[in-house]
Amino acid sequence: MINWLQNLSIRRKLMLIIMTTSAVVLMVASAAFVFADRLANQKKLVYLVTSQADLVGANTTAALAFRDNIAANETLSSLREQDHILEAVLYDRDGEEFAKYSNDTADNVRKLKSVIADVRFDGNLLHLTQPVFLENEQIGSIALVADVNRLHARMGDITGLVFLVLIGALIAALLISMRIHRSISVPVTELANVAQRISDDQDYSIRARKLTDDELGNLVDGVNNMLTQIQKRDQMLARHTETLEKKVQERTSELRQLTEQFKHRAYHDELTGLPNRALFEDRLSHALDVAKRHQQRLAVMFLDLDRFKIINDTLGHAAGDKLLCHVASTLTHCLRAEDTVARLGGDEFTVLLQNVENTELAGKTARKIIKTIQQPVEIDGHELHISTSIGIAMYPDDEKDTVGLMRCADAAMYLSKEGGRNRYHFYTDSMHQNAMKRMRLEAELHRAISGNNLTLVYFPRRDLISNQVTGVEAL
Amino acid sequence: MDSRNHKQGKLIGLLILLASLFVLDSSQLFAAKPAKSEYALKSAYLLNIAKFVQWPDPTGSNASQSFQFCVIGIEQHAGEIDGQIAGKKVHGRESSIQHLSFSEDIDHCQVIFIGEIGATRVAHVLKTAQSKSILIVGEESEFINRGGDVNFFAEPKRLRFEINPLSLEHKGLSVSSKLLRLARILEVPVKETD
Repeated sequence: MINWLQNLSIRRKLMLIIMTTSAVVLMVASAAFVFADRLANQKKLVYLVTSQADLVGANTTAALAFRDNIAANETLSSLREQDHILEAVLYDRDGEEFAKYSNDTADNVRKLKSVIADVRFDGNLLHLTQPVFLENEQIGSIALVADVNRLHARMGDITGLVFLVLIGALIAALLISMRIHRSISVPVTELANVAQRISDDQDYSIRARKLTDDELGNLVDGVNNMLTQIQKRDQMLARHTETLEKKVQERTSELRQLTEQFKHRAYHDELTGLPNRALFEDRLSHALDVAKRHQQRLAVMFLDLDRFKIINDTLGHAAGDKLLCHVASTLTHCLRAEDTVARLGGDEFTVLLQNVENTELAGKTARKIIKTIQQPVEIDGHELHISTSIGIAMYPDDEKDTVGLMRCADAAMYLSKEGGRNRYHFYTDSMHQNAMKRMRLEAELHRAISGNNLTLVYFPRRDLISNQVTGVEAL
Repeated sequence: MDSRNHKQGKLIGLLILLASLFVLDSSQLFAAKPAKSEYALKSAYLLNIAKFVQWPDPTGSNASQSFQFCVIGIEQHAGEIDGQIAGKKVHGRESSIQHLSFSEDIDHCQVIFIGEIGATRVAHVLKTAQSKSILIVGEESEFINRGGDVNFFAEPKRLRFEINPLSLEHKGLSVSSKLLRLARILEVPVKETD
């Protein structure tokens, strides 16, 4: 009940309050009115019946005096016209019933015998007794029994009228309340709608209309002020957010650049900008995957500049670096876009040729490189002639993995070096054996040096003619 | 001797009346024993009739004086009549009763009750009383026609009376309608006689 009441709209609540109040007031007033009317009617009734008793009593005095009960009965019979009188009894001075009149409908009237002046209500019946005087001497009494309801009906019961007035007044109250409630409910509804719109649209520029100049008006003003403050704060917040975002963006892009730089550095050679060993190996492994999938061939070249150390030592590091950069760009130009050139360090470069149809194609590229690098280059006023030694390993002919291919290319390059530089060699299996032999030798020599097991043996040189020892040869 | 007889008769009459009241209801009383108390009843009626008649004011007698009933004839029932009337209040005055011979002065009487004294004497009394505010009551037929105001007559079960309102009006006496309702009305025009 209370919840139901609380959940009603303001409009309905106001109307309910007005209607309830009106109904209560009207009902109380009506009840009081009806009650007062009943009381007044009752007084009127008593007065009316008393007058009738007086009249009948007066009219029966002679009959009573002369003990003419026929006349007395006749007189009482005149009450027939008064249909509310159910019974009338005339008593003589000794209290004996002298004459009597009974209405046809008075079957069940309970007689309240009384010979002295008396007024008594018994349910719907009014018992009234009046003495009958003749010349100041009581010669009897007349008792009337009246039906109160019939009397009320005769006097006109206003209950129906009051009820009609009550209904009319309630309808009027309803109509009035429908007008009055607007002064409160409309501003409140307006305010509620504005609040709803604001929360729906998140638009704090909406303002509530001020419809009244009362507390509700003040409320509207207050809400509007609050909205203004919220809007200001929002704007400030938006500005701050914007600044912050800008800063974050700046930082982020700086960071990205740095990251890019670091990434580049991690995978590229700082001097020439070419991919470094890590990136090269990575690309090689990718290229191997591709080649394996498509059953292609690829070639790995190892390049080493001939006599670079001499140039570096004589012209200085700066010149050496410039020369390396020159070589890097030259190599890049000699190759297809999908090929990779990397600098492993020092004067060592590697080249990855993808999708090589045959070894001859790789050889052709190697020749092109050798030829291009042979071109004289001017650095710091010096015309330099350089050359390179190249070793080539083929996939899948020579090896099938990154490390193997690089080892093979390295071995082939050594052969080129040993073969007199400025040339290229494909890897062959014997190279592997030679390389192993050389490695073993190197390892034994290292062991011999550390174990001080090397001994210098001199071999005398004798002149055969003079048989003289002309010198010795260290073996 | 006479007065003692009167008193005894009065006492007996009262006792009978009281006894009959206890034993019988009123209609039976009047029906069963009308002869015995005829004059007592008539005098009671007389008293009541006087109560319903208004005399012009000032009346022929002073207001402080007693209300005068006069009886002509009926000497043998004087005691019963006296017992019913003497000392009773009428119009606020104490009533007294006087028995007259027909020739006496009647001017001080308010009510005259005439017994059966013969037409000539009745006519004489009526003539004497004419134009005076005296209520003339009789007890023989044709009494009204002769010029009387009120006359007793008997019905099988009760005593009744007839009234000539014209003669009362002529005398300046007004009679209550209540009384008229009980009475038989005989309207006999008043004949002025010298």
